[in-house]
This record gives sequence, C-alpha cells and structure tokens, in this order.
Amino acid sequence: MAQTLYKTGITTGQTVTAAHVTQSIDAFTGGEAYNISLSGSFNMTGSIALGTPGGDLTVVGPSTLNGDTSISGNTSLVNSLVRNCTITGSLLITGSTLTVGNLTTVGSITGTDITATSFVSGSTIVGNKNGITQDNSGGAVNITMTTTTYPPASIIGITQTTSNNAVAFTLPEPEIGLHYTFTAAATSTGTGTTTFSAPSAILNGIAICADATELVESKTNFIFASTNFTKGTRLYFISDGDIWSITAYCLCETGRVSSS
Amino acid sequence: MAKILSKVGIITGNALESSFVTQSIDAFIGGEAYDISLSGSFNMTGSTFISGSLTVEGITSLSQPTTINGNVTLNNTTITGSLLLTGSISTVGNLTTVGSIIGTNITSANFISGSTVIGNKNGITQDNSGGAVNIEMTTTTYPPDSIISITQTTDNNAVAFTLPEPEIGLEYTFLANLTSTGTGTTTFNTDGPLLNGVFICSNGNLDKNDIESMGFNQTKFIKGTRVHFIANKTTWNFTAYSLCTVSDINYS
Repeated sequence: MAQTLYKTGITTGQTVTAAHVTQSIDAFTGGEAYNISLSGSFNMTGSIALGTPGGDLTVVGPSTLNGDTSISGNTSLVNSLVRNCTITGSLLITGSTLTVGNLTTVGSITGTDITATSFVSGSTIVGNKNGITQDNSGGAVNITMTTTTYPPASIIGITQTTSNNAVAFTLPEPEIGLHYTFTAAATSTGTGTTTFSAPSAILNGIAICADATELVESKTNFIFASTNFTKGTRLYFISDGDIWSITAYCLCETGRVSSS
Repeated sequence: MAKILSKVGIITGNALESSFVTQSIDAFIGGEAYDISLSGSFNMTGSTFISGSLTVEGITSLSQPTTINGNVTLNNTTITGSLLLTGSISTVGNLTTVGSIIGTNITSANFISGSTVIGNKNGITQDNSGGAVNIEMTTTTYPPDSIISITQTTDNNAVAFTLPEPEIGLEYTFLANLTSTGTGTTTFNTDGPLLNGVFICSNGNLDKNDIESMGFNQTKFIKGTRVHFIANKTTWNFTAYSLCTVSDINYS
C-alpha cells in the first residue's frame, strides 16, 4: 500500500531524523510508493508517464493536447451536457466510431462502409449502383426480394440460359423512393418465362417495345414470353410507398409481353 | 495564491528549521497550495487526479480506457480502439477510419463517393386537398434526386410545379400516385423555354424542344405516369412515361 508523507516529530529545536528528509526523496525518486496530492498547479517541462502500468488518468477540467496524441485503448468522451471535440489535425481511427452528436469535418471523410440510418446528402453523389447477378443454372428462380437481400437502388443482371428454368422476381413491399433496375445480360433461352411481380396489383406504368407501347395498369405481374427477355432489355421499378411504377424497355414486340 | 518551495536559509552547518522540511510535505499532501515545477521526468504508477486543467505540449499516449468529461482539443490523433462521442466532433483535417462510419444523417458540402451507393431516393408526397398547387421548387425544399408522388383527386384543383434553375446533374422524378380527377391540369414548368425531351405515350411518342411548360390534360395524369427531369448546365431534359395518348398531353 502506498505511503503518505508525514510531519510527525518534525519540530523546531528537535532533531530531524534522516527519515524525515528522505521520505520526500523516496517519494520523488520512485523508491517507494507514496500517494501525492497537489492543490496548486503542477508544471512539468519534462515528460510525464501516467498509469504505468494500470493506473488511470482522470481529467475533470478542460484538456488541451497540443502534441501528437495516440490513444490505444477505447476512448469515451462523455458528458450529460453536450460536449464538443475539436480536432484541428487529422483523425485516424482504426476501431469503430460512434457519435451520438454530430460529426463534422472541414476535410474529407473516408471509410470502408459509410452508412446512414436516415439520409445521405451531398452536392454530388458518385458511385456505382449495387450490382447483383442471377442466373438459372441451379434450376427455376423464384425470388421474393427484400431490401436486405436486394439493397435499394440495386441493378440485377439476369442470365437465363440454362434448360427451361423460368425466372421470377417479386418486388418488396412498396416504400417511397425504393427503386430497382433489372437487365438481361443474355437473351433468355428455353421455354421458361421471365416474370416480375409486385406483392399485389400495384404495378402501374408502361412497356416501351419494338413496335409500340403497352400500358400496365394496376397489375401484379409483368411477363416476358420465353426467349423474349432479350439481351439489353431493361426494367426500372420505383415506388412512392403505395404503388410500383414500372418502365420496361423491351427489345421485343408488345405481343411478347403481358401483364396480369 | 499558491506558494513556491524555498531553499532560503538552508545552509550546511546551520540549524534546520522545521519549515524547511515541512514545506515539501505540505506541498505534497495538499495541505497548502504550492506551485511545483519539475524539469525531469515524472513517473507515476498509481492514479492521477487533476481537478484543474491539463496541458500537454509533448506527445501523449493513453494506453488504457480514457474518459474525458470536458471539451477536448486534439491535433493529430490516432485511436486504435473504438471512439464514443456523446457530443459533437469536428475536424478541420480529414477523418479516416479503417472500419465503418455510421450516422443518422450524413451530409457533405461537396461530393459523396463510394464504390457502391445504396439507398432510396428522397421521397416527397404532394396532394391538392388544400387547393390548387403551384409550387416553385428549390433544391432546399426539394432535395436533388427526390421522387415526388402526386395525388390530384380533390375538386378541380390544378397542380403545377416549376423546376429550379438548371444545374448540371440535378434530377427529379414525379409519379402519379392516383389518376387525376376534376378539371385541373397537371403541369411542369421552367423559368423560360428550357424544356427538351420526349413524351412516350400509349399510342406513340412526341418530342419537343425549347418549351416552357409541359404536362397532362385533366384526368390524364394517370396512375403510374412517371416524369423524369435531369438538367445540364442550361436546360432541362424530360422523359414523360405517359399512360395516356399523345393528344392528352399539353405543352407550350
């Protein structure tokens, strides 16, 4: 257990023992453990090593760290009041970062994945759509999409060239702003159809075909006849929360598509 | 006012006064306020509690969990553990994480870039239950790339939107949530003849250049109709996927 410096027996006119004087020396050379309390200021021009090993540094007042700072443990900047952390240099975090308040940088923010639970806003947003490929080599495809398995704004490239396996996708429940693009990576073969469905009769839009256009009004399914999901065909679906708008850019004639 | 440790009167061969010894003790048990300066190093294996302020001009290494309750100003900082901030964090320089960044809203004054960008468009709904709709859009009230879902089913209230000034890359999508009713038209305008594009209709297509207004006659903004606008620097391109005939559209 650490000791405390004492004054017992130190009186003018009495003999001072060596221990009276050496206790301070022991304390400040680290020869023995002493608990030191200072009520004035402590001005250090040399280096200071705190918590070696296992001690803690608790700073109640404001802290200013002007030099390079390395924090290798978990760091928590906590207060019941809103406190601000201002970093005038760069900040590199190799672990995770969680802010309850705002995170603002004058410079750039760079991360592996950047995820917002609400909106992402920028004067310009740059990046590919999320890409997903699907073929029918494993048998007939009948997929009910979710926003987890098919992230919003994904493009799904379909290759339907194995046997007679049909391909069918059912869109998620409508959600405002949710949108998907489907493309034919190769012209479909075999006897299988290619079908895109809504959860109910809420498909509304238009099919633009080689010979004319065809309307889709309050339908559940939009279907390409076998061998007519032609390479380059593109379907765009966007929802307003109630309906799914469909725009089908078809490289076949209207007689080869249908809705039901 | 805090005192300073004194060596005055401490001379070899002379008698020591008790205060010569006790001053140090008073200083280091906190009995009296002393200002202490060390020019060497200070090695502490126990805990340190500082109720005043701490200023470190050199390199600081905090190898254990650290709690800082006050405001913090850091220059170049590397944190290899996780960082939890319950207040705000602001960096003048760059913020780089090897892991992910997760927030409620992420806003950039310039551009946001990723190998893949995932997310819904911003959605806005508009109906005409409060009377005729005549909206001058701005990029603040209608954030770029929004989808505006229109329900025009009350009385004869017309619906009209005027697009913002063209700005390269700015785009909007309008969608008919229900087929319009009443005698009101559905119109999309620009400030000047800035509209260029094509109507794709049930019975054919119609292309138009340098028009100021385009839209749909009464009851012809049919459920599922989608109008997409995208701007270059000076004009607006439109594509109107129309579930009506060419004769049901209007333009000027």
